[in-house]
Amino acid sequence: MDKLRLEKIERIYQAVLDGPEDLRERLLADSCDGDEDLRSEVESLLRFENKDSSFIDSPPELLAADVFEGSSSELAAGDKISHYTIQRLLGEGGMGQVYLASDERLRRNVALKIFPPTIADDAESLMRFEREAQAVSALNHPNILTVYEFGEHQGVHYIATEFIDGITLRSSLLAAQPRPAQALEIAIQALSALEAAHEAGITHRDIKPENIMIRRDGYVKVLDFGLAKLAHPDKSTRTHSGSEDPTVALHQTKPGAVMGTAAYMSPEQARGLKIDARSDIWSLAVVLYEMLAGSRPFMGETHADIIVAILGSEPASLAEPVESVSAELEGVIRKALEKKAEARFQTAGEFKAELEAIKLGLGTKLPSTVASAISSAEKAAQSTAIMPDAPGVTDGRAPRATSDGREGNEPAHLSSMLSFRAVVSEVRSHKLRSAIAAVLLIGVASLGAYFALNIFRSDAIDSIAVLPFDNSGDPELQFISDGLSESLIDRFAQLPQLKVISRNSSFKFRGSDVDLGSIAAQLGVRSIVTGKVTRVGDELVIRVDVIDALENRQLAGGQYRRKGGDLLGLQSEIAQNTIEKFRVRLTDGQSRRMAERNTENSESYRYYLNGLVLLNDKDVGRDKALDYFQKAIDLDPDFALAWAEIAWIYLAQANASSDPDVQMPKARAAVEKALALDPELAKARVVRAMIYEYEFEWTKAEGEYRQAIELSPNLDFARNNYAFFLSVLDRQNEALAQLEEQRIRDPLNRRLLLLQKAIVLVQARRFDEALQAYQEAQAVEPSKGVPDFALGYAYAGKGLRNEAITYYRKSVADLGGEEKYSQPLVYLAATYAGMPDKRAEAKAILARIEAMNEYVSPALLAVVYTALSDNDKAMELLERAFARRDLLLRFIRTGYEYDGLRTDPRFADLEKRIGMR
Amino acid sequence: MDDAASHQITKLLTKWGGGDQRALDELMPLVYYELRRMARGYIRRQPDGNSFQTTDLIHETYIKLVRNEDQNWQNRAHFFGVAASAMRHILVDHARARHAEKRGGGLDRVSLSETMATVAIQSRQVLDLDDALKRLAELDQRKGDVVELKYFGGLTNEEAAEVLLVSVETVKRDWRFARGWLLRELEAENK
Repeated sequence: MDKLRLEKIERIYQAVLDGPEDLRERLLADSCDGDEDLRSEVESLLRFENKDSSFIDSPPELLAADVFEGSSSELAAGDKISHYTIQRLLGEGGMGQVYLASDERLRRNVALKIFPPTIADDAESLMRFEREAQAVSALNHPNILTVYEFGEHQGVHYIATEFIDGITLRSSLLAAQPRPAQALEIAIQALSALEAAHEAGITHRDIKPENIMIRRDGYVKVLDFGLAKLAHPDKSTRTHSGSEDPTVALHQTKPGAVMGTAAYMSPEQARGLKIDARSDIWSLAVVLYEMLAGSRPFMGETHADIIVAILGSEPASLAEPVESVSAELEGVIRKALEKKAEARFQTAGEFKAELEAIKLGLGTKLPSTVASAISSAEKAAQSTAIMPDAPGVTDGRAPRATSDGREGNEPAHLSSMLSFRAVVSEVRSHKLRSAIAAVLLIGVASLGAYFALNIFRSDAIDSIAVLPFDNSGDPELQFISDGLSESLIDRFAQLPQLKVISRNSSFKFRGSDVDLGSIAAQLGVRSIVTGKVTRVGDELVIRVDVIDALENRQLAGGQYRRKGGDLLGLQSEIAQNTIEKFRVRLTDGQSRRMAERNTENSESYRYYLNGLVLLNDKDVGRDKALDYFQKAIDLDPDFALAWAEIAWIYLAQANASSDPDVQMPKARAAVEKALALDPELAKARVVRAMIYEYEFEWTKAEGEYRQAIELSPNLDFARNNYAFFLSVLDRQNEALAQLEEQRIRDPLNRRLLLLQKAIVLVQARRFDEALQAYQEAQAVEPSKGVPDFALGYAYAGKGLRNEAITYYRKSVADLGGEEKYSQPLVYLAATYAGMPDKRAEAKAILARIEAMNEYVSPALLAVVYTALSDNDKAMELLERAFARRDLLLRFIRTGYEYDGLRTDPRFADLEKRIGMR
Repeated sequence: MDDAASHQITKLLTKWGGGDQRALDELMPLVYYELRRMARGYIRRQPDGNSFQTTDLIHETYIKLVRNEDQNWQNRAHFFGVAASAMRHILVDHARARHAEKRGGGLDRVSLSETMATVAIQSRQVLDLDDALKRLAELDQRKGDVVELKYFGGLTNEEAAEVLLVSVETVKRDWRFARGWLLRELEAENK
């Protein structure tokens, strides 16, 4: 029927109905004028005029009610879906609603996606999607959203996934355009996800900013793999996209509408052809283009216009409008946007590699805020230095730096705390308050990726992290919550079968609401232990949960109740119950140690826990902790753990003092007491090793270190100190291996480990690598930076005297200026001494130092005389250092600053007497 | 709905009223979303699902949308137009899924309540009507619009007239004819 015909029919139809009812027959006959077809048409329509039709005369309200009433209706907070409790609606996308929900079984947050009934009804597609989503999730890739569970509850189909605390790239783009380096980083991480999925044979099909999430810590997560397929199960048999994204559905039946997703479609996808991984590469390139340019490469007013652009037009140049986009980057994006899939990058990996290379270049070219804050004079030095220096970094910790001085009571110059020890003490003095901030720092976290990949695949739990227990917001309970979790770490650390994350890394998650699955991924562990301490009347309730992050299930969960603050036996009970669930086989000795109760005095135990917490609190510090441990042993003189802590504190005090001989005997007495009570106490073994070092008893020291590590392979400061020990004996590769072992157990403590590594590398005279490590350390935590003295020492070793002087001077200024004795001042003088035109300055500084009425390390002064080629004086000073057991003397074997003396027989003799050769 | 979304919808309505066709493309998903959202609250207030009134829902949604904005009758008309169209898509989508379920034997599995049976029948009817309506709109766009507004949007003749900028009489006559035409088409299809 055509329009004209219809018009004619209508005219007659309306005229007949407008006329009086009894004349209708006549009107009809007259109007049709013998055209029988016309007449029967109109008649056939008129038949319905008086016929009631309940169907057409009222809107399909039952159906409407059914639509809105169905399971797609919004869930309210507190609603239960299986073992999930709804908290709030996070968003509503094409594939149903997504809620933040808590998993009551595993006590973690999940994102719960509820499928609309229309999808849920398509069992076959759903199953296919489930298979695919599980397959991608099983890749365990840090940039891929982890799927926990598919389920059905009273007809409601849902999928529970990792909850991402962050925003979609779309929201991010709406808020602000990312900087080019950020855009590249986001693309690189997303490509990393695609690479893994593609290798597993899975194509995403719907890469767009809505499906890329940026977690608060900077992780990029790609969502909804395979979901697009669910939305379009089979285009050829389904002409209508009914069951999918409302926007898409609307637009597909609404010509002229802009379909959001169309903009990211590859040409082959737009044409409805078969697509593969290369289609995802295209889509991601569109996303990257949009991030850089602020607009999409292919635009149009209508869906069709966009498709035409995708198929036929070239995107506008990026390099022109966006200054920082190089021709190189533009070229890479163009290659990814080749119309023919064969001409694109063939794998996500290739694309990623190109972007990574560009990003690296971008990093050095970008003017950093840090760099611009440096004065122009220093900028000249900066141009050759690879390390930008962060203003405000007055850390002062450095190789052999007199580091602790400024913070403690001892004047800086008196302290002979060794660099490693300084770093180690930083390890011990976890900065609780910055912990949460650190987790939020972008960049800190992106390293977690390293550890997340399929490192564990066995029945037994082989790696765990104990998170700081929650104190329910009650500060009075903190010593219990922290103390318990820390002592559990210590206890588990004794098991060589387990990788136990050190306190530093696991305590970064204090109060964090990152879900446990991603914490496990970041820490590279299979299991997480969490706990919560609450006070109920005079009763303490301690809830402990153990989660298998790989299997997404709870291994154990239990409550421990203690009346009247009696915490005795609690720790051993938790440890035993927990370890049982790990399915690891324990030796008799290990079982005994897990069950050990340490003390039978409840009050003593409380003092001990308090001490542990204080030891980690930099502000209150060691002295107060010492008081508590002292009280603990007053009440229970057989409390070995408390003795070990006392020994550790005395040792630390001795290290920081100008006269170690005062505290060292106390440390020795305490450690012998601890080991007499419990010869298997690894902490005490480390302290004993360090005392042996002080006595130049290298073989004995090594024996103690090895025992400590054997007893407690996970004990971080055993390995750190052993590494330092190995390094001064010039066993650099062994030292680096120990640090590497530690890195695995302390993945989030990367800055400190890098600093330690750099120190070892300098001793190994691998200066370029050392500077590289310093640079990485700087990048990991820019706010903390790298100690100036450490940098100066590395540059001087490399022969770059001007750079060394720059950093030494900064360090000197930080430590009180040239009028004050400090290690960097000595090294500054030594550097001048090596420059013919600056020898006078060197001598002037030397004279000033010698005129100071205070203790000056003879080992240090020897460095300047060595540089001045005054070997007699240098040797005399070293002999004096030997007599005093100067802690800095141990560097003579590896330190480049003593090279001038190496041919001197007196030097060889000294080395022999020290026992280093 | 938050103020920002409300403001955006009002702005788009004005733009569309001003002849910007692209505004409709942006409006549609927004209105669609809002309708769905409103419907949930609406359903909750109706203990009995049978008392669902499409027209109430659209009115409520509109009131909610413009609470802080100028009450512009043209915008209101435009909104009703978009809302009716969105309703049509919502219902057709749902009916299609329902129908697919039926073909898949879904209805046979459960004992049918009377309501469910009616829903099933309505689903079929809505799908058929949607098809017929597309054919009608090709021949006479305005008649297609009238049916969409009245049937899917539940609008009165007066409201439909406002939306289409025609007289109420025209709406009545369009409906009269379209109704007959559609019923005949549906009957022919079911034979």
